[in-house]
Amino acid sequence: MEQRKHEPKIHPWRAFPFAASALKNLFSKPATTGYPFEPAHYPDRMRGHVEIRIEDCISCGLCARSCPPGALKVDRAAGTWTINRFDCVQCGNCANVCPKKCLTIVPGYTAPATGKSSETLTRPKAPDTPAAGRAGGKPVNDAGKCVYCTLCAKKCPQGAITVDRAAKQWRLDAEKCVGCGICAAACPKKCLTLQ
Amino acid sequence: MAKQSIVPFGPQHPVLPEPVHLDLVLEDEVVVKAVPSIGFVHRGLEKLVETKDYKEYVYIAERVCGICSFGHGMGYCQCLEKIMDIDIPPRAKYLRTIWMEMSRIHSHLLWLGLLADAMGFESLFMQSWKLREEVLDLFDATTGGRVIFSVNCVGGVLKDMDDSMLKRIVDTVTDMEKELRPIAETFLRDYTVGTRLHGLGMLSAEHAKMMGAVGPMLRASGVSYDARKLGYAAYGDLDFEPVTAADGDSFARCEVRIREIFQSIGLIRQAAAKIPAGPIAVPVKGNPNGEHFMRIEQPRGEAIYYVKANGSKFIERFRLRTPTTSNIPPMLEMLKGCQLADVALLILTIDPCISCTER
Amino acid sequence: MEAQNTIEPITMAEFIPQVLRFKQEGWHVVQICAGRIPEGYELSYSFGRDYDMRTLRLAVAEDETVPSITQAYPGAFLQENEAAELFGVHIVGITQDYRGKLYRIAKETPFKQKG
Repeated sequence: MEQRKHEPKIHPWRAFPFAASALKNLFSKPATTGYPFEPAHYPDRMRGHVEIRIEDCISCGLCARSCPPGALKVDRAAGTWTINRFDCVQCGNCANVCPKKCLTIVPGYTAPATGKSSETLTRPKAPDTPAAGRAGGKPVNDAGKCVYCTLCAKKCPQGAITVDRAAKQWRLDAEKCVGCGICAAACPKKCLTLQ
Repeated sequence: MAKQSIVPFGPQHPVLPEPVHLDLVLEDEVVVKAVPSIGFVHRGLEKLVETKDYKEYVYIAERVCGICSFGHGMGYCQCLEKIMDIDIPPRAKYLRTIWMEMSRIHSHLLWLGLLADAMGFESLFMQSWKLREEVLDLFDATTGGRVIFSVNCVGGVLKDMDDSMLKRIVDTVTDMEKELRPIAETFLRDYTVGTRLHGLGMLSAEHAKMMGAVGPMLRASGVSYDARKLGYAAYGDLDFEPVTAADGDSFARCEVRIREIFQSIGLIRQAAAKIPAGPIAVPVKGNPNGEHFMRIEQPRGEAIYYVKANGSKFIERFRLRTPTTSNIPPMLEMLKGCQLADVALLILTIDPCISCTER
Repeated sequence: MEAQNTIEPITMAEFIPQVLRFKQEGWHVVQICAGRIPEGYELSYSFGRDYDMRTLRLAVAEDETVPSITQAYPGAFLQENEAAELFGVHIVGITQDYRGKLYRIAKETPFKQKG
């Protein structure tokens, strides 16, 4: 390895290539920002933390099941949504899978703290509205109107609906169904109602 | 024969911020053998694929490494798209290409900064990293993250760029090109840099190939191989040739990387001019079944993504052969016969990423 | 560019002769990968030449020994050691055999068990 063959090529006119930038730096504003004395500026798309519009949440639990680090917990019976912000990795998967689009990922980081803690939000009690057409119930099919197009089965985030076109059968797996109402919204014949 | 002594090197070292340990067998100041050991940051991410939904794993795949994160997500998605026979929209392909080339620019600028730092050339290090910051700001504005981008999904990409964003990218990289010239000039012409790098760590083309060198390391030895030529994403539509250098020493590796930054800037301009309108993702239904080996060119070299799926939503085996895994054997060859003082610099010239290697 | 990318099953008897043939024809090792199958392990050896890639697929029983290819391809030692340490594949005759000391991890062969 003793073959250093470098021959110095001196270019006097390039002897101080950074002299101009050094002089410029002397008389210009610093390249860095003055944080924390000035607020940090975040771009619009920045993935900082997750926010929820809890009144739209239907406690389907898809976010909690699709969270790679397992930072979310959903309690269907109590209607709560819990996030451990120190486990969250801001990947945005929960916001992508949410059937009601009530989760968003917004700029701004979680403030540092001395210990891990979680934050729980409880859904306000729903006013007594007629159950049909409101998310939260289970879909019921009007066999007279149904054309067995299978759209509801394709849209179901949980794969809870099976449609057999040949046998003209529509079946719901009530265990899997989370009552998100996507099937009813997708139905071209409007024969599905949530009850 | 001189008396042999063994010097432990790493995993913490002032010059080398990578958790690799080497036992260096020395004769006086000359290295005769180097024995590596890794595993200090082994996280078992390949194993995690067995318990995570395959669509969710994209976010884990890109967390394998902080520098090549975009490529890891993209390679994993491309592999699944091949298995599931999904044709992603052309706009998604171009967007992936633009982000991939931005990753390459920031990875190479990072390496140039580290190289300058290892030589003790502090001002050059700061100039390189100052320039790199502009790419990171672009990433922040377009994807929402500076390091982890989370924009890949099986079937396309999650975020679109409008015309003003594309224009901002093209304008920024064009400005960067101007600012990069004096930095590149210094790396390639400066006396200090030259004496430190010329003739150090020679690797012949034949040797590089047989030991399995990849990426800039292989191309610096005069082998014209660049996996981007396979034409994945939008690379098939773009006009470029692999950058090579003949000498096979550390200086050649530095030169190849500098010229690749200019090439990436050109590729971004080409892609931004050609990008078609249309959707950015296709819906994906069902579970994958089958296996495939996907090759993509990461900034550090060729990476292999292997997925074996069994028709369920959990994947059976995911294997990621990263560029550094392949570059360590030729690095050990290079270390034989070098001076102890050059060891850190020589390890650096392969652009090592140990957390990639261990996953 | 269309390049070859195939997976070819191979038996243990044909394996080493095929590797030597690859060596003569100028192929280089791209990657070596182990995986679990119910009967034991599945080893994939990928070789590349220019832009082509061919993968040899070898199925071995859990206690079967596999000859190392490091005599022909010295650069393969790292990935062979990796397969041996993470999965517990019995690879014999590696020119630089670390015997479990490459990965400094707490658990022996962590990838051997499913789940």
